[in-house]
Formats: sequence, C-alpha cells, structure tokens
Amino acid sequence: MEPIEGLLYGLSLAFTYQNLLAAFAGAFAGTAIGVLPGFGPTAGLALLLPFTFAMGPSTGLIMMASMLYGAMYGGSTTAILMNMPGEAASVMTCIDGYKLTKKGRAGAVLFIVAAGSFIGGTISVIGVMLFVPTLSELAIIFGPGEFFALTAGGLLLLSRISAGSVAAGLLPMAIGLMLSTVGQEAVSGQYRFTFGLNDLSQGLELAVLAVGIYGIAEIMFVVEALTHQAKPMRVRVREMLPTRAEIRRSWAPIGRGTIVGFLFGLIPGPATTLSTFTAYRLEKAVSKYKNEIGEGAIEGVAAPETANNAAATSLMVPLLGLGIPFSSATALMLGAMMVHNVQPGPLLMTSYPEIFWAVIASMFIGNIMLVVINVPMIGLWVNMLRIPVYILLPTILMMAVIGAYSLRNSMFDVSLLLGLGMLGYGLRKLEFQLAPLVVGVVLGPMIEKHFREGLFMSQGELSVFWDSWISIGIWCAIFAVIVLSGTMRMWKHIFPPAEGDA
Amino acid sequence: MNVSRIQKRKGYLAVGAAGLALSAMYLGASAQLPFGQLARPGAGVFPLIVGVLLVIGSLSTLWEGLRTAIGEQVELPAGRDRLRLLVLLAALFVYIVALPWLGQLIASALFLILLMRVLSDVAWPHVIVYSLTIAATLYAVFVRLLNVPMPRGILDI
Repeated sequence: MEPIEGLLYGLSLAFTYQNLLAAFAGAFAGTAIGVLPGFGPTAGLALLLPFTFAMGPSTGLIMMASMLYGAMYGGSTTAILMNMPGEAASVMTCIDGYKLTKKGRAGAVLFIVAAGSFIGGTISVIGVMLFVPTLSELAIIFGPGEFFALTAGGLLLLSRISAGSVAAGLLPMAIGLMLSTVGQEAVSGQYRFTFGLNDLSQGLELAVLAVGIYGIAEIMFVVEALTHQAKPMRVRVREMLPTRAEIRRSWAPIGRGTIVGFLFGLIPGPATTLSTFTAYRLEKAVSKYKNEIGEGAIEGVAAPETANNAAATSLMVPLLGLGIPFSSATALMLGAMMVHNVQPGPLLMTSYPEIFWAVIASMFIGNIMLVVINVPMIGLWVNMLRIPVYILLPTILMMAVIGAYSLRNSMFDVSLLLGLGMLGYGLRKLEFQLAPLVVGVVLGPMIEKHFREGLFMSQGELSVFWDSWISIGIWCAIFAVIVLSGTMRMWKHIFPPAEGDA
Repeated sequence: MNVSRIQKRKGYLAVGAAGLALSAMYLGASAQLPFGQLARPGAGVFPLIVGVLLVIGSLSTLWEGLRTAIGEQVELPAGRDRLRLLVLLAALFVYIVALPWLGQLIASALFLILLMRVLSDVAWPHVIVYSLTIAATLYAVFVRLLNVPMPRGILDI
C-alpha cells in the first residue's frame, strides 16, 4: 500500500469512535502519568496493559502508543513548573525550564515545549510511515539466522547500553530470559519449570510481571520518600504566548531535537531519556546561544523535549517493521498484540495492514489531541499536581491489583505482584536495569524459536547464525556500538568532564 | 527521607551469590529436560544456554561487587520512612490474603483506610469517607460496569 493510500485507509480506521476514544484516553492518561513525579511511562503502560486485552489489537496499541508519547508531553510540565522531572526523559528540561519559570516565562515555555513536541512527534510519525514499509520489505528475506542476530543481538545491545556496568544489564537480562522459559514450550508442548503448579503452565503473565516490577516498585519508591508536596504555581492560558524572539530561537533546536530523537528511537536502549541528554549537549555545542544554555535558555528546553517525543514515536519502527521490541514500552505493546494472536515479525505490516495504518493515523490525531490537552487545559494539570499522594497512590495500587487479577482470574498472579515488586525495588536500589529483564521476557521465546529453527533447517550447522552478509552485518553493527559505548565510557572515566559542563 | 546506608559492595556480593544459587537450581532443573540432537534441539537446549548466561551474569555481579570501593553506599529508608514502607508491604500482603474471603469491595475499603492513614495525617473521618468513595467507585466501574470477575468473598458482594 502506498503511503498516501495507506494513510487515508488508516484515517478511516482511526476515526471510529473506539479508536478516537482510545487515542484520547491514552493521551490523557499519558499526560497525567507524565505530570505525576515518581510514576514513569513504563509503569503506566504496564498498568494499562491488562485493560487493553479487552480491546481489539489496534485499539489497544493506539491507546498504549498515545499514552507513551502523551507522557513525554506531560513530563515537561512538572519539570518546568516545579523543577522536578515528571519522568526520566524530562530531567534535562528542569535545568533551563525552571530557570525560565523563575524569570516569569513559564507559560511561554510550556507553549513552546508543546509546539516542539507536536512538531517532533508529527515529523517522526512521517518518518515511521516511510521507513517501516522499506524495513519490513527487507526483513521478509530474513531467515532464522538473521532474526536470531536481531533478537539476541538486540537484547545484548539493550542490556549493555541501558546499564552503567556489565553486570547491571547482564544479570537482569539473564533473569528475564530465565522467566521466559517458564511454562509450556512452543515447539514440543513440553512443560518447563512449572513445579507442578497449574498457575505456571501458561508461563508468567507479562502484564503481571511489568506491573509488579515497575508499578509496585515505583509505588514503594514514592512511599519511602514521601514528603510534603510542593505546590506548583498557577499558569494562565493568556500568559502562554511566547515572544517573537522566543519563537525565532526555538526553530533550530526543535529541528535538531527531531533528528536526534528519531535516530535514538531506532536503536535498542532507553531511547527517550538518552535522546534528551544528547539533544541538550548538542545545543550546548552548536547553538548560537550556547552560553546562555544552563542559565534559562529556551533552546535548552525546546531541543530535549522535542527529542523525547520524536524518540517515543520512532521506537515504533523496530516494533512495527520487524515485530521486535527494543524497549520495555514496545515490549509491552507487543504483549498487547500477541494476546490477540497477532504474530510478531516482519509480516506484521503485510498481514495486518489495518493495525499498522490505524496506529500511524492515530499518532497524527493523538499529537493534535495532546496539544489541545496540554495547552488550553494546562490549569487542569497544575491542579492535578495538587491531588494528595495519599489519594493517588492507594487508587493506583487498587487498579494494579484489579488489572493483575483480571487477566486470568488468578490470585496467584496477584500474589506474584508483591514478590515482583520487591524484586524490582531491590534491583533498582542496587542500580540494576529493569528494561533488559522485561524485554528479555518478551524476546526469550522469539530467540529460542529462531535458534531452534535455524539449527533444524541447517541440520545442526551452527554456522547458520553467521552465514549471510545480513547477519554478519547485524552482529558487526551490534559489536561496534557496544565497543564504541564502552570506549566512550572509559574515555569519560579517564578524562572526566570539567565542573559545570553538564 | 531518613536514610540508613548499606555498602553497595555487600549488596552486589549478596545478589551475585543468590544469582549463582538460582543458576544452580535452574541448570539442575534444565538437565531433566530432553536435549535432543543439534539438528533437532529439544526443550532443554535453550534453558541450558540461559542458565550459563545466568552464571555469567552472577559471576560478573560478584566481580563488580569485589571491585566496588568500600565507601560506595546504597541508601535505604530508615525510621518512619522504613516503617511506612513496611506497613505498605504488610498491608498489601494482608489484602491479598483477605481478598478471596472478604471480597473486592470490603477488602479494598479496609486496605484503603489503613493505607491512607499511614500515608497522611488526615483525620479518621475524612480518611474513611475518601476510602469508601474510592473503593465504591472502583467497584462500580470495574466489577459492575466492566464485569471484571473480582472475588466476591463470603458475603457474596
């Protein structure tokens, strides 16, 4: 299907009332999660996941995607108004955003951030729309060897990029793979590691795992650090008009932020967060106003906030083009599709064009909705920051329990929440990364399938995993990135950056 | 937050040791599964590879633990903050145990009352009103409207 034809088809699907409602609800919930400090988008997606199972695959996916990029919009509000990141991808926004607030420019900054997020998000959707068909056409010729390289290599890369040390990524990855082997195995139907428990025969439920390890653990973090809430300042809609100079200075950072964000979304790793760091540093290096960045310059807010939206959108490329998740967010989205027997893989786009085009079209619509939700309705979000934690947290906790129970009506799943929550809390305290664990659980069965298929087809020749130029290319690229990031880390260790060079 | 500190080194060594014990059990259980041949790998082959990865992950954790400087510490909550966290976990545990007996509506209301009281210094009457409102709303939306078959308990509500 040609892009224009596909987009029109997608729009016809996206404009059904379920899908419009899903995009709006996702965008709204995403903004709320972004605004609330201490509760990140992955935990939000995890909580939402069980409830998407009742929807069709496109509707569920539309809701989850809009929640993810909605959280990127919302995160900036708290960063700018309260100097507190609403989520990890808004850390850089605090620096200049809050200084601008102190200068009385909060409204204008919020407006520019919303505009930048809209531009970055929309251009990124166009990129996804043009890039995915080419990628999935290429991937149709992939055999088990290439897919093994992509899935196993991608997971390895994710575990290396997201963590500071080798162990902090490798151990969670291995635990995730281990958990993925629990339950009935796909090829021979053999039960593995179920210890005779009926509840384990179908394996661990991804949603339960994610809610426990992200959601419950994050609630534990909020509870232990409970302090009196700071009150955000009020922002009036008529104060939101930026000056001409502010608009003029924002164009270039928004453009650069879009490119940086789009590229980061394509590779395994914590794309949204990493893209903001890179976009900020890039502004500090190339902007005409680089000396002002860090002291309250619009560039320092516009670039990272645009980048995280572009990244939150482009990370759909590996998911939709190859059927492979490279982040915990897309791993959960894949989970939402697989419940409806949608097979992951490069055929996703050809076999289920309705899902692909509906999601693409809804992303255009979702971005427009988010501007409306975030600009004229800013007062609502400021008020939301005033809702006391003792109301919010117990409500979220209740919803987590209901969500976990609803999947299989199993109290076993609910009790797992508690155990997994403590595991997630402990691992995070020791600075282990959770993304390789969750992605490992999702990719585990795919890696095993490609591994066994490869050996089966080659009659036991191990060389099947590196006998084509494509698989060699994939492995080389993965090792190049791993070596490069390792070298950069060593470089920083030997030559630490000067004080104040954020 | 009131903090007590533990050495990061000890944390890593403990996690590494636990990981090794886990890998031993996992590999032991994997050995019971059929391996098949290389041309027809059985259900035990992939777990074996994963088990080896788990060993490598645990060993690298131990290695990093040994290399961590004595001074590096991990902050854990202390005093009232720790108490609050422990009450949350205990309350969640009791809630999960009590849910099948008391049913969604009553168990949630009690859990919410306790948790809100722990998380705030709001007076009892307010806490009770808020909790009942939230519990009833969630019950109405999820159980009645969306038909999530939550446990109904001995009172069958």
